Amino acid sequence: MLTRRGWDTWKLILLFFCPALFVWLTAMVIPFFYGIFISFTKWDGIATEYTLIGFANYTKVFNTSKFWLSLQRTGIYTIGTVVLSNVMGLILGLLLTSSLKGRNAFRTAIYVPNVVGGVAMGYIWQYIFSYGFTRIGQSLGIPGLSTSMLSDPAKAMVALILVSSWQLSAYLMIIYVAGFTNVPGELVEAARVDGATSWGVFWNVRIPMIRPSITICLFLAIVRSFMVFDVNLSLTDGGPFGTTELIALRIYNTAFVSLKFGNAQAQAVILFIIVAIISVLQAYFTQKREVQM
Amino acid sequence: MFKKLLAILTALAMLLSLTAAFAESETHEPVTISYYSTQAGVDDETVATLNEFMKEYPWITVNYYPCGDDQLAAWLALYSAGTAPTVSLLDCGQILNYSDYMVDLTKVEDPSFFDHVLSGTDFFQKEGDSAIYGIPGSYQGFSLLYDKTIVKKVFGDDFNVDTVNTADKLVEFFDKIEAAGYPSTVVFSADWALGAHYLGCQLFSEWLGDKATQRQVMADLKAGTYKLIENEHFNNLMDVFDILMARNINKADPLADTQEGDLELLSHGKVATMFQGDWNWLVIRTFENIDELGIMHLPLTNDENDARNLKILGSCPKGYCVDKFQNTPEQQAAGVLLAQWLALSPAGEDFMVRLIGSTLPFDNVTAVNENPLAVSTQEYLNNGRILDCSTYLCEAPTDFWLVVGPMMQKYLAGQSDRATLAEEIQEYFADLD
Amino acid sequence: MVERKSVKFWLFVLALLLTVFYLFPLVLVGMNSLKTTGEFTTNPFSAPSRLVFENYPQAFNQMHFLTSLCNTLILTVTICVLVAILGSMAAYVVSRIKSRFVSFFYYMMIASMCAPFQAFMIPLVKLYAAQLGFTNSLVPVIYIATGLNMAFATFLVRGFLNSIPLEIDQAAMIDGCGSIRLFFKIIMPMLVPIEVTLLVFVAMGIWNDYLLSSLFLQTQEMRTLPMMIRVFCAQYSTDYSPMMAGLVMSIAPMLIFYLLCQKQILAGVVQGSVKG
Repeated sequence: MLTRRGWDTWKLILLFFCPALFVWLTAMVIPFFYGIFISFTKWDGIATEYTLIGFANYTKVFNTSKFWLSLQRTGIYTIGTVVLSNVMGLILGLLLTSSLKGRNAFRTAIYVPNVVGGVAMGYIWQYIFSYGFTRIGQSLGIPGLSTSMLSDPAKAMVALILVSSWQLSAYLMIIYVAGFTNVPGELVEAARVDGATSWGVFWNVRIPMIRPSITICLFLAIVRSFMVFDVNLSLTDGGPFGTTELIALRIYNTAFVSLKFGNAQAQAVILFIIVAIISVLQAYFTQKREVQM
Repeated sequence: MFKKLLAILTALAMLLSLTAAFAESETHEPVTISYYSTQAGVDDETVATLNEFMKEYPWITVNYYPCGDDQLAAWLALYSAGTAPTVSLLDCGQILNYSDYMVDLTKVEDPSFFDHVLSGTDFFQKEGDSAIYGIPGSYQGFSLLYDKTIVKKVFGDDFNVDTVNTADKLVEFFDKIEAAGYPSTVVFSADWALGAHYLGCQLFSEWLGDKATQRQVMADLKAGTYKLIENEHFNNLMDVFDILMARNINKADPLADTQEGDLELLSHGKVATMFQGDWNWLVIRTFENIDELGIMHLPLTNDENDARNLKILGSCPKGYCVDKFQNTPEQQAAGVLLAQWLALSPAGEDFMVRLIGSTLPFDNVTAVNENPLAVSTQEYLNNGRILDCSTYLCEAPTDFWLVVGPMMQKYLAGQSDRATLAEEIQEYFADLD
Repeated sequence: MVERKSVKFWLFVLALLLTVFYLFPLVLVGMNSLKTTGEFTTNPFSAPSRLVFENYPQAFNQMHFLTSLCNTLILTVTICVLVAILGSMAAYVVSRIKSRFVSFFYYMMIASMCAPFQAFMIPLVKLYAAQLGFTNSLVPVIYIATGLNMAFATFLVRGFLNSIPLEIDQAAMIDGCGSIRLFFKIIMPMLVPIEVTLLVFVAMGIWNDYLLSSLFLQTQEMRTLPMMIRVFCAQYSTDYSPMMAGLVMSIAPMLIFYLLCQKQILAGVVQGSVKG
């Protein structure tokens, strides 16, 4: 930490930190508190006056078993997606920073899933699952593949995890590439000179050096998985018969189909608290183990 | 003397009417209003139609707000921003939900435009309230879409589908088609298709009884005192659904279909019937070399004399409403002019009929409809053979299809039975607050 | 040496396989953008029977492509610049200064990344459009998107700032360097790889953003590319083929941008190598 004291430090904070703080407060925090306020009302979406109903929305949400079921499903989905996407992202990061011919071309190609956007990707994958795999399964006579994965609750969840990990790993790959690029070549050389094997280099040099990347990627993966909406909507739309309705989709439907805005806000606040606790704790503990130069 | 008086009086009268004419043309202060349409995907054509309106009414400027995907969210955002659209083309359920903010169109200066409406105003009325909150924007018929080409091949050119007037005769109809080598039906598995169209609209329609009975059943369901499984109509409904399920071409994997896929099967003669509606024309017309198609009724009982067996379901899905919450009285007046022009003028009707392929429930339709399914609907409408589903569309909870649709999907996939389905529906209603 | 060569070969094969895995859905989109919609819905996986190039001009016109491209570019560039500068400055403070004030707000910022956008979507409209009057304008989108990305930027850059040793700051300060010069002339150039990475992420998010834009951009002239893609979606049917053509055209600028960024990340590494 810098050792300047007193006013100098505060000048720095004011000049460098407060602009960002101000924009963040006004663009995110204040509206969010407004949203929390709405969760204590019964609101129809248009009225300019709000009828306060205290904690009624929260009680209703706590007593709705479907809400907790959806949350549980989202938790399972998150674990699967976080693990798979980070493993794949790490492999991609490592691969695309090794001495490989045409590295830039490969990086750009694998980056592509990021730019197509969640909804379009989901629809394309839906066709792949409903048409593509089934036709392959039927012509090759594989019974398991002849019916669409999306028609079975368990398989549909697997499909959702696969597609999300596919897309998320392309996203995390970018961070891992930056992280592996930053591993000083001298350290790797020094380790090799000392007789370390490739695996040794990987585990004892590369991984510790990319701890910041791992922190960021784990955090992003957890948050994005808990909040997933686009792919959920376009790939399964909560189907088959509601068994893959994850929590963000549920909140959206509560607001814009059931028109229960206060209830939806309460659900969103509860979701926020849960995800915030999990991910901040995760970030805090992983950051403690980062290598500080 | 008398002649002079007459001359003076006539001159006075002419003078008065002249000043009145001047006065009228001077009360047209320029006014700016806005229009929001949930008819997605035709923005450029909508703008062109609005430009024609502005030519006829040069003192009114109309700003257009396109809707995108999330129709209701964008509309609510406009309200939150303080820029509520003056006129909106919305689903009837949404208009009634927010009727507190809408102009009562029976109270406008000149409500004579309602005289042209054949049917559908009750979709914009609430129980016990004489106010009408919307002008019908379109009309939809739905029931069993069928491939006329196949039917002609199997039954001959003079076959009249009206002879299929009982559930048993429907089974015979399907059997004969299958014997000739054609799969008889496909069941489209979307939650809105099963929940809203098959179950919701058919359950809460004339089949159940008159409007008062329908409302009573809904009220009893909400009170938790109704036993759906004991209702004869519910059982007839589900019996016929079982027939359709058993003959579903997608039986092996009933939930993996898509709307386009199923319609392609119907259009290219790979299946004979499909329970859907005349709006499907927008997809069907993108295919090449399609068969001749039409709509026929779906009989639910075995009583030959039951007139309901020969009717198709009809609904007024969208209507034009005028906002009074964030629009001034001048804007509201201009909005009423726009709404009735969009609904009933030749240009407005042409837009709906030719571009969207929709039927219109008005008596002054001159535009020619290229949608053969809508032509079928118009025939049924003209002959009074319509089962009105306004109770479901206007009074059922907005998320009925979202929650009950998946229950039907489970049934379709063979993972639920009738008793469970009935109980789940009862639970849904009892759980509403 | 022989062992090295075969390892390289297998790595290349692996990269190729992975590329196919990640790229084939886009290839499908490209292929289907050259079919008619009816052909696409009949069989999404067949090769086009004839190449329907007309989908592209159709998409171009229906999407009002130039206008929406312009709007999207303006949004992306301004927001990227704002986020990169403000976020990096904040990250510098978080990394270098021990202060409870800063730590508290830093962790609040991280927590705020977990806030579901739907929870404060409507309040945003009420505050910025109804109260402050920013309707149908790019300005609120720019301001709000900057605020939404701030926490991510700070989080990302801070991690990498921690790997830049404090000695550099101290050396510069001993030489009499003021904070602003220190930050912009010495620290920032060393952050180029992560800045570019940040730009890539933020640009990607804005380029694809639909929800935030739809709240504040109401008329057709103000709409962005992701909003205009929806122009092909009617209520019960979608005109898939021109929509896919539109998708391909929308993706192209982002891919080019990313390709260019690759060189920058490499260049930054060479420049920023810290020696002793």
